[in-house]
Amino acid sequence: MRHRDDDISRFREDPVVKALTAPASDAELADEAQARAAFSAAVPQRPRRRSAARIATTSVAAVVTLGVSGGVAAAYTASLPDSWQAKLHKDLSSLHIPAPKAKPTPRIASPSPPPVSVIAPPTAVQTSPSHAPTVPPRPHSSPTSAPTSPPPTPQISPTLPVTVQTTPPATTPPPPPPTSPPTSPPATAVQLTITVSPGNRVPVGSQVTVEGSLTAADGSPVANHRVVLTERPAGEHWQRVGTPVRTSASGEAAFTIPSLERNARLTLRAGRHVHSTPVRVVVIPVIALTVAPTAPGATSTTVSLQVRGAQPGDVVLVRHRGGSQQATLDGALRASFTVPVSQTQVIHYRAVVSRTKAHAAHALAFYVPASGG
Amino acid sequence: MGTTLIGKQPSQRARRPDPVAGPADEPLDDALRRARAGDESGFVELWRELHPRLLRYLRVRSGKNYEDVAAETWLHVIRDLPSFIGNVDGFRAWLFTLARHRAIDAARAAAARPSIPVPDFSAVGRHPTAAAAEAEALDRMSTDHAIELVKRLPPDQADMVMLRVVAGLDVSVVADIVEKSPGAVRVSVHRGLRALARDPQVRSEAV
Repeated sequence: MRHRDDDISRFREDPVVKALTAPASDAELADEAQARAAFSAAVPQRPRRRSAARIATTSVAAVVTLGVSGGVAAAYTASLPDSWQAKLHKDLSSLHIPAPKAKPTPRIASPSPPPVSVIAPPTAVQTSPSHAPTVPPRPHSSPTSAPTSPPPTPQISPTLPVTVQTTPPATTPPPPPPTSPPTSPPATAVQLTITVSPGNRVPVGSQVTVEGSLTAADGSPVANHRVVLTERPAGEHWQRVGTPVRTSASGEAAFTIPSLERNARLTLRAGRHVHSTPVRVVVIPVIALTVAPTAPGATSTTVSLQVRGAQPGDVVLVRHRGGSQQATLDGALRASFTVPVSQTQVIHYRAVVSRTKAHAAHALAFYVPASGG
Repeated sequence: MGTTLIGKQPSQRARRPDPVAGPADEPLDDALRRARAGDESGFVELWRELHPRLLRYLRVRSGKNYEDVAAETWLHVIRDLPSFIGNVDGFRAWLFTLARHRAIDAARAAAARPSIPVPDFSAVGRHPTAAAAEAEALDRMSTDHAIELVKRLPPDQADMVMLRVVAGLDVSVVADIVEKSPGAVRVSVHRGLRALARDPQVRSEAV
């Protein structure tokens, strides 16, 4: 069946149309290997998505299992996302089901150093509340610093205004931590603001400071209230980072992430219903590049680069006005290119790391001197 | 009977046969579905079918850095493919829309940064491709020549001709991409093809 607006069918036998729609040549398909490599490199980075049906099935299975055996069910539900995990245990609390242990959250396509526990004993939070605890660097396969008991629920209103600030942190040192025992927060609405410094775009490995300010509805600070820093690294679920802290007399709490290695969303939580707006922090990769010395008269040279903050399999381009080459990073985050060398003039190039969910794009300009042959 | 599909998403448009030499889309729908699921063979199938058309379109639209633009387009496609919804018609429209935007960006960047001619970048580290047969070589010359002829058309008209003939997009899709009315696209493409058919070199080759 030919459509009415098929207005160019009469040109089907036209030589130009036939030439334009001729079968592909070998030259046009010469980059197939590169396209295939780019696709295969991108596939492992895609986050595994759970369909609604699968989540529902998993949840129902978990509920049924919980009715049979609390211990087995707790082990099984530990595989659920944190939010589902919390809801399930809340709904089934009357069954006296033990809470699951913290589950490891492996990251995709990344080297996995030995797991490092960052869970502090609960008593440490109560007896020595550090105002600005330093969160150890979290390796990709480290377990989540989930609490071993449900967090306390403050008596506060669930409808809270939330603001986000991205200004630099205050230069005044934080006040000393409170020494008095924890007290209940006021039964009024509170506001939790979050400040991330040095900003929302940081080079890979940068130290990021997250500060929060907890205030009541009348603007007065809420002191000695438990605040938790949660993070959602790219492609993963929300998870707690480090140990909770208590707000100072001025209602402030601070956390330090010594080395941010991938994009993440950060938010502060003060109880079940009080949280700040998530702040996205983007990691900028760092490119280290080496150009091999060119022999006199050489027509090409080798450019080697290493990208810190990228993932194995990420695509890297070396671009020039005359075209581009692309390669994928190996396990050591390295790639090499063979680029042309002019005998008479300097050639400028740009090495480009494409943006992924784990990091921002970044480019580095470099040049190859003339070979002088 | 024709239908007016203005305002609908490409994925919602009615399927219609390629007017000139369009590919059979049913296998490509399956390839698209597999590619979205992460199957490399499905993606390669799509790439083999659409990349040559994309290159030909970009040779007219983008100039000498067309391979660079095509590579960036495919990287964009790979990145966002899991979130793509639609059939292969919609995918083709999406692909060429991305390519057109990339070409426009590249043209702006080229205008801002003057270039220095260098040796052929693509020739380094790449083995030359030998022609399979004389007939194929002649076909390639004919395709190259046809592209050069299309380049002589006014840019907007050449853009529409390539999107309509080479990309195999519907009139309404092309109209959405170039932000013109379907009637204007239909007339412009028709005039462009007639102008190409009247070209003395084409007529001599036809004889």
